[in-house]
Amino acid sequence: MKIVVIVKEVPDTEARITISDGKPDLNGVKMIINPYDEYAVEEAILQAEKLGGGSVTVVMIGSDSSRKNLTNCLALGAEDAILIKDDALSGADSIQLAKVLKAAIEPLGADFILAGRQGVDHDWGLTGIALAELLGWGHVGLITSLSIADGKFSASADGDSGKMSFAGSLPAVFTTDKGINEPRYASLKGIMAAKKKPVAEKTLADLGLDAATVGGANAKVRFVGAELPPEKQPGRIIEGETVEAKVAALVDALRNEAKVI
Amino acid sequence: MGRILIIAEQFQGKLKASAGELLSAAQQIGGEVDGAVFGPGSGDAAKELAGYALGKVFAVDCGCEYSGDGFAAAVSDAISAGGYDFVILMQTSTGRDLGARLAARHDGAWINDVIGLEGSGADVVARKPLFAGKVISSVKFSTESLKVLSLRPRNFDALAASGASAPIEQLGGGTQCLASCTVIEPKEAGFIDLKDADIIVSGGRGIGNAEGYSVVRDFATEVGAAMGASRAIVDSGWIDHSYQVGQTGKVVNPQLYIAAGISGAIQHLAGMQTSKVIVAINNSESAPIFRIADYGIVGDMFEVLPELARQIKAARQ
Repeated sequence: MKIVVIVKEVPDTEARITISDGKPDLNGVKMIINPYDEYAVEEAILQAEKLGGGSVTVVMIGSDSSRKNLTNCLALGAEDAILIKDDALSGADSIQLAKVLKAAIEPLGADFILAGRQGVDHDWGLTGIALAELLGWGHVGLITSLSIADGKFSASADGDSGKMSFAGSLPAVFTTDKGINEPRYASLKGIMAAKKKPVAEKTLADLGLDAATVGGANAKVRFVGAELPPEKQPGRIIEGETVEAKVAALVDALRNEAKVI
Repeated sequence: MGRILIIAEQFQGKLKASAGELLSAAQQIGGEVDGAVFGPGSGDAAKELAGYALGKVFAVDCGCEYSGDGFAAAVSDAISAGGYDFVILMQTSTGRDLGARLAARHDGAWINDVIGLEGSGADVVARKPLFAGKVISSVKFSTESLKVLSLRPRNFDALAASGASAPIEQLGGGTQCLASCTVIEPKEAGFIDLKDADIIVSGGRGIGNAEGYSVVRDFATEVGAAMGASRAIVDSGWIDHSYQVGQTGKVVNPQLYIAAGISGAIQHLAGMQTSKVIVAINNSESAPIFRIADYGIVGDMFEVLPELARQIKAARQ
């Protein structure tokens, strides 16, 4: 069983983001593996263990500085990794990135692909689903459980109207939600082993792709500005002798000042 | 002027009111607007949708509750044949999924989680939060292909049905679904979705332990609020992740957000700072949550929440 996981780097969720020149300024911000992708990596390793003899390949579009985070995925238990890096990809939209990933992943003969439900940077949530469409595969988004047997899958997802139960045949793409598993930490043995695991670097040319088509210069979605949300002004602490008095003052304010109850 | 297809949502045959938000965004962009509604029960929901001053309405039933590939395949020919420039959906668990699939299928473009639109037609500029709301970006399309927008719920004024009637066309028969959802287990009775809620009460580490969440649950039941949680108590296993508000949970936008026993980490604030009014209850007056709260009470949430529920109920009578 061949399992492919797509991961990306995002700014640390604890980071405060600033704007410079009309764009989010990520200089000096610590980059981490997208938290939703950590669930995808863990699920891939769990499934490989369950299925016995499965192997996991991690694929990332990144840069030279991404190697550390990518190596950490190997330390968790993936066999090998592909790092796609090309300056032309700067500003590329998610469907372009899905085309790049398709070119890298198609030769691997994957039985299924896992990815996080969305990057917690631009929050598109598109790449994994677009990849399924480009491959002509089915997909299930936002999965909170997955079981694989005899070339078929069943999966569940937290829908807005209730828990959704899905079924279908492999190959397929699954995007993971938080709650599906508890990502492990790398063991010392894993960290040592990761140093010897292969990371193949690929450019667009290596993948037989034309930068004019999949590069950022041809993106169909473009950022034209960015600003920080209006800063919320601190309100007031409600004083009172007793809990009853404080709450009475609060209810009065909510009813007559804020008019929300 | 362009042609626009709005994809409304339904559950068990009942059209969701967000159809009015979709129509509002469509009118901002401008053009001829048609509608579609999917799933079992789409026949009944389509009759409701037909009342929203639309050219025509597609009722799409592929024989399952949901399928990203199946629903996209079922409507794809109609999108090409109809020459639609825009598809607009809601940013919900299925809307975000189908929108992404349609954008890719038509080699088009996708802007999701839209909170506002400026301008009209192909030059429309969408406002979209990044980093769960730490930044608000402006995004434009640069394509002649299909442009797909998904709207964050409760950010567009919902237009009412006009009572006009549009012809209904059935689609979806014979569609092969690769991955399909055949069962949706409805949430427990009285459950209020975080995204739809006017009032949300969220608990944080101040609840002390898993059992402590009952004070939040009781408040929600008494007042009719949706329940939320901080990442800390989700990661501690005290409550399911579906309740988490913040950067790796839900982004919410209620009239009133009550943060009880939540210190106010930046990833939590990102998920709730657009709430109209924020109330913080915390026993530490130095908790960062007070810096963005409209009203704060320094005190024990186990005393304040039950009293607040009692007084809100009294005030409503």
